[in-house]
Parts: sequence; C-alpha cells; structure tokens
Amino acid sequence: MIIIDDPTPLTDALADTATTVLVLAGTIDGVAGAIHNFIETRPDMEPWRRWFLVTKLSALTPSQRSAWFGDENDRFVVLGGSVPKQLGPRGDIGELLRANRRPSVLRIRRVFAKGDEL
Amino acid sequence: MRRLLGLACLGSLCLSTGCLRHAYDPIGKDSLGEAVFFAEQSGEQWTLHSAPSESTEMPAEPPKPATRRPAPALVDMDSRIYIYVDKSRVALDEGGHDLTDRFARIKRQREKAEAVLDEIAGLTRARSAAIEAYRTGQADFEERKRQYGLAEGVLLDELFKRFADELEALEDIAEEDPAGVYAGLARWFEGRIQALNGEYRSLERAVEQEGIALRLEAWLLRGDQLIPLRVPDYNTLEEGRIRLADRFGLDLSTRQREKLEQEMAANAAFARRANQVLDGEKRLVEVVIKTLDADLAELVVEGQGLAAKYNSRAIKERFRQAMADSQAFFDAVARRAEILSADARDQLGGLPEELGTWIAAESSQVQAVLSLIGRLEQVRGRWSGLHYGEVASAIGEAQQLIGELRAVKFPGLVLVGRKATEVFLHEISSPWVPAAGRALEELLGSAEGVAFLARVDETVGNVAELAGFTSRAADRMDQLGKQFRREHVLLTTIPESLDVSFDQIKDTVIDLRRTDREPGDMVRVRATRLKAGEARGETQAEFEVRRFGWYAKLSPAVVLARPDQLRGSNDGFRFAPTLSWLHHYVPRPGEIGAYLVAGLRPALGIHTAFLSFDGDDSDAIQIGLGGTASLWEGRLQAGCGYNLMADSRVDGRIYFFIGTDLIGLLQTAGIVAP
Repeated sequence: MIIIDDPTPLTDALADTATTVLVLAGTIDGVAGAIHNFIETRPDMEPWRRWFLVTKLSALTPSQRSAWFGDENDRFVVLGGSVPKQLGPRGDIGELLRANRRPSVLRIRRVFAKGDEL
Repeated sequence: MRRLLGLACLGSLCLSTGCLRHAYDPIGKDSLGEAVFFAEQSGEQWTLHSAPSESTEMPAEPPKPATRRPAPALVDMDSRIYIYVDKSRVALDEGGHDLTDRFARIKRQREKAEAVLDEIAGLTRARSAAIEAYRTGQADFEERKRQYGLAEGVLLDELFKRFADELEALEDIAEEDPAGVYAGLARWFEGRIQALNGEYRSLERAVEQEGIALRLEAWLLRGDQLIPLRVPDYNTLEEGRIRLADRFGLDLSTRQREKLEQEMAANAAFARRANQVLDGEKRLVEVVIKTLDADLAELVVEGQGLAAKYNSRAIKERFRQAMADSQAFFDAVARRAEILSADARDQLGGLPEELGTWIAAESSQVQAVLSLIGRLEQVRGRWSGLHYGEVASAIGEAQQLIGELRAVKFPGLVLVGRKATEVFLHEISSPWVPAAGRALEELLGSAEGVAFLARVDETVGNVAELAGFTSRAADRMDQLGKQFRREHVLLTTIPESLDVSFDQIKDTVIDLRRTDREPGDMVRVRATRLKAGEARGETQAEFEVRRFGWYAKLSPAVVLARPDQLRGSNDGFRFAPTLSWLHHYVPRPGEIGAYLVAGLRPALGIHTAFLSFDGDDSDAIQIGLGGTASLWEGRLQAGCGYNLMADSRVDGRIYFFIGTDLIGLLQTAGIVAP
C-alpha cells in the first residue's frame, strides 16, 4: 500500500500484534516504488507480512521519521513482534536490490524473516 | 631369608611382567588408510575405532580413520567389526594420482545442496504451520511465526554466504517459479544434486576403466599361527557358526582342557622342585634360571666348549695329521702297486689329492662353525636383555645366523664315516684285478690302514659333533624367533580372497563370533588397492581380542601356602599348586575406573589347593578350599582357605597363600610358547 498523506493503514498495521511490517521511504517512480510494486506482484508472500511505500516523510511522526529512516528517503525498515512493534532490519533501499538493480525477492524475504523473529 | 627371597623373586616377576603389553612397530601411513573405517558392535554397544567414543546407536557416518599400529584397538570377543570403505579414497586416475580431492569436492557440494534441500523442506513445513495458525487465530501463532522467521533467516543467510556465486541464478528461479520461492529453490537444488551425482558417477566410471579394485583380507593371529577370517563379499571362505564366548569359563574345548591339564602338571612339578629349594636341596635361582633360559644357555655353554676344543690352531693340526695319515696309507698302497693294473694305479694316484680336497673343505666348514659359535653367544646376550623396540633387528640378526648355520655343509664322505670310506674304496677298486681287492683288504688291516680309518673315525666324530650342534643351534634360534614372530608375521595373500572391482566395493563386517578366538588373539585387517591387478597401496589395521564386562576363568597357579598353625612344625611356607575360578570385570576404555582396572586387572574367586604341609612326606596331598583374590589377570594371587584333610586348627586347617600363575607369567614374558 502506498501512503501519501494518511498514515492510518500503516498505523493500523502497526497496532496489529500479528503483523510484520516493511516500510519503504521513497518515490513511486524510484527504487522504493519498484520494490513496492514487485512485492505486490508476489503471490507467495505470507499473510501476516505487510508492506507500505511512504512517499512523503511528513506523513510520519517526527520520531518515526527519525528512528526509521534518519529523516532520509530511499530507506527501508522492518518492524515486528507484538505491540508496540520493535525495530528490525533497516538500511538503504539498495540493500533490497539484486546485482542487476532489480528488486531481490530473496533479500526482501530475508529482512521480513528477521522481522518475524522479533 | 629363603622365604623372603622366594617371595621377592615371585613378586618381582609379577611386577615386571604382569602388565607387559605387546609392542608394535608403527607402519607408514598410506593414502589408502583414510579409506577404511571401523566400528565395533558388541551387544548393544557401538564403538568407533580408534576413537574412545562409545554410543548405543550405530554411527550414521564413520568419522574415524583406520585403527593402526602401534595402538591396536581393543575389541570384545563377542563383537562384530564393521568395515566402512570410502570408495573415493580408493580411486586413482590414469596417471596413478589420488582422486580423493576431486571426489571430495563433488561430495562436499552434494552434501551442501542436500543440507539446503533439507532446510527448505523444514522451512516449508514451518511456513504451512505458521500460516495455518495465523488463519485460524491459534494462540501459538506468535511462536510459530518466530520459528518460521528464524528458519527462513538462517536458510537465506546460508544461501547468500555459501552460494554467492550462484545467487543470480537462485534469484531468477525464486522469482520465476509460479509455485513460490521455495518450491523453485527446491527444484533447483534437486537438479543440482542430480548433476553432481552424474559427475560423481562419470568420475567413478573413469576409475573403473583404470581397473581399480580393492582387496580386503583379515587374519586372526595366535602365536605364529595365521588364521584367515571370512570377510563377506571380499573372500569366499565359509561362514562359521556363531559361538558366543563362555563367560563362566567352564565350558572348555578339548584343546583348552589339555592346556589346563598341562599347566596344572607343570605347576605341580614346579611346586615340588621349589619345595626342594625350601628344604635346602637346591638354590631357587637355579630353578628359576633353568626354567627361564635353559636351552639357550646350555647351547652357548656347549658352543663355548666346542670352540675351545676346536680352536683354530688345534683344528689345523688335526687336519694336518689326517692328511699325513692318509698319505701314509696311500704310500703303503703304492708300495703294493705291482699287483695293480695301470688304470688302478692311475686312480689310486689321484686319491690323496681328492681326499685332501674333502678334508680342506671340511676344515673350512669347521672354521666357519667356530666363527658362528662366537656370534651365537652375542645373539644370546642380545636376547637375554632385549627391549621390545629391538625385537625386529634382533630377529633379523638371529635369522641371518640361522641361515648361516643351516648353510654349513660338511663333506658327505666324512659324515657317513668309516663305512662310507670303505664302500668308497671298494667301489673304486672294483675294476681292479681280484688280487688287488685282497691287497686292499690287507692294506686296510695294516698299521697304516688302521691309523687311516681311525683318523677317519675321529674326523667324522668331530664333524658330526659340530654338525649336530649347528642343527640344534639353528632350531633353537628359530624357536626363539617364533615366540616373537606374531609381531612381525608376514601376511601372504589369502587364496580365497577376491579383488573387488571399484564399482562393487561395499562395506562389510567381520563377525568374531563366527571364528575360534581367544583373548590375546590379534585380528589384522589389510586393505590392498590394485590397479590393473598390480598392488598400488596397502594399509593395515590391528585389533586385539579382549574380554570386556564380566567373565570367569580357571587359573592354575603355584603358590606359597602357609598353615595358620601346624603342630610339630615351624609353620613355614610350602609351595603348592592351586586351581582358582576367578571372576573378572573389565570395563571398556573410557568407562569409569577403566584406567585403574586396566592397570591392576583384579579378580575374585574360589580355589582348590593341593597342599603338602606334612614336611616329612612331600608327596602327601591335602585338599584345601577357599577364596582367591588376584591382580594382573591372575599373575599375582593371594587367598586363604580351609584344609579339608586337617583334623584341627593346629593340624593346619586354616591356611594362607600368595603366588602366581607361573605358566601364564612365562607366556606373557615370551619365555614359554602359548
């Protein structure tokens, strides 16, 4: 799901004890958008795993912006465990790409897996 | 004082030989050695050799290489020795190079792929469980999700780390498989395993074409006996019937019963002689030395006497005299030459020279024997203080001397003596005119003839004495070598063994329960790699057959027994033969107390003693019954008992003893053949 201004779906997902949430910060046309769209096409993603593309960091609270992304775009974070969610893997969006710069299903699954462990 | 001396001698013999273990020369490590692995199954217990680890389950993979000298593995009498063969380590390529690395690389890759496949299977199960828990709202969903995340993280970390070169291919297959990431990955790894299997098989085929084969042979070594053992699929020897060891030690075979009877008789004889020592008739040291080294010591003394008798100056004089006597005889013959034909005169003229050649040859052989006698003494000195590390070179030295002694050949004429001489002379005189024959008779009866024949007799006696000595010396040396031969026994190929081609190589098992075995026997396994029928590498492993756990055995011994009280006597120690039924418990190496028990080999049991406390009549036998405690497998025995023949305590009803199983002790020391 793409979050432009209203963070409610993200907030709801974070309030669900079962979910593991991947949040991507970036533009729809950029790498973050490509990764988001790639995940959308995957039929085998586990039902408790959720993913969001945040195109405007202003949609997030200052603490979320700072703690998740360091107030920068083209970053990702995984949040898992119960409520409140714990911070899982985070980093540059490029870490979720293959050598050919296409989204990597294995790398994306790996960060989700680390989030599931929380 | 004599008692103390007797006890000290017995004690020191026990201490010095009770714990003797056989020593072995290490053999070189062959690349083939890593191909053969052993695991022993005894009852429910599995033991890997030469590892001390023990398990109640059969090892999935044998991780230890062959047990080899100088540390033979200890196996129970009722065990089976499983032999695992790593085929890849048997292989050689066209140039005869080891292919271990190539096989190992393929195996490693295959194992890696199989491990990933196993993890994917586990992951798929964990995923299904987690999804099911999520959909049905199960309380344990959090835990299942965590387990799934952990498993997936581990798998993906491993893929990134161990398959970095193939990551792009893995990404493609994971991305493209419509059934899901892990279904695609599983198919990819299955394909990879198949490809590796194909590569492995083609490498095996290449090895098969090189004519690589494996021969696995096994022997039971008992003394100098080599008994081939059945190795299923590797030889065609018949499979014996399973016979478990008799743990009570009472079900004796005919051979064991005979051996027991012999040992008891020997102990009784020793006790009788030893009692003579106590009575002051002989010195104990004489008895012991006579028992230990009688033959060789006597042989050396005899050799020294012969060497003195035939010292080189004396022997030269003897043969010079023999030549002179011969010449005198032939001169006398020549004086009667008028009665001989011309041919006879010619033949007779050549005789002194011919006889001289024989005598010279004989003289040379006698000199050789004298030289060998000197060396015999050196060899004896060497054997008397031999360390096990020197056994190989001492045997080599002894064998060389045996060869030289056996090579001494005395002239046939002289060995058969006067009769042969007379027959010889008559034979050559047969073409002579009849009168000449009569003349020869007269000549042999003349003073010169009698002196000649007497000289022949004397020389024959001398040579026969030396020849007899060399024969006995060689036999004794041979016997001495045999006592230690099992350390150096030469293994010749078992005729029934098969050269198993590379593609047919398989694991096998030696079932000790199906062969006649005794504690102390050795099992030697030899693996020979062949290339086109030619041996290209060999490795050996050795096992010592032992009893582990509880067992009992009959132990004859000679003891010093003393009555608690004896009326009208000095209550002194008397030697007596005993027969004890000793119960042992031997833990396996690594078990609690194994080190202590292995060092002391304790046992407890009951005994019957054949006492003779009536000093005036040493042949009178009294029967005693009681308990025995022993150390070092019965080498040292002590106990007390009840004399059934005694009327009262003052008649020696209660007695104590200390002693040793003399024959076992001497066998352990290698002095008496088992």
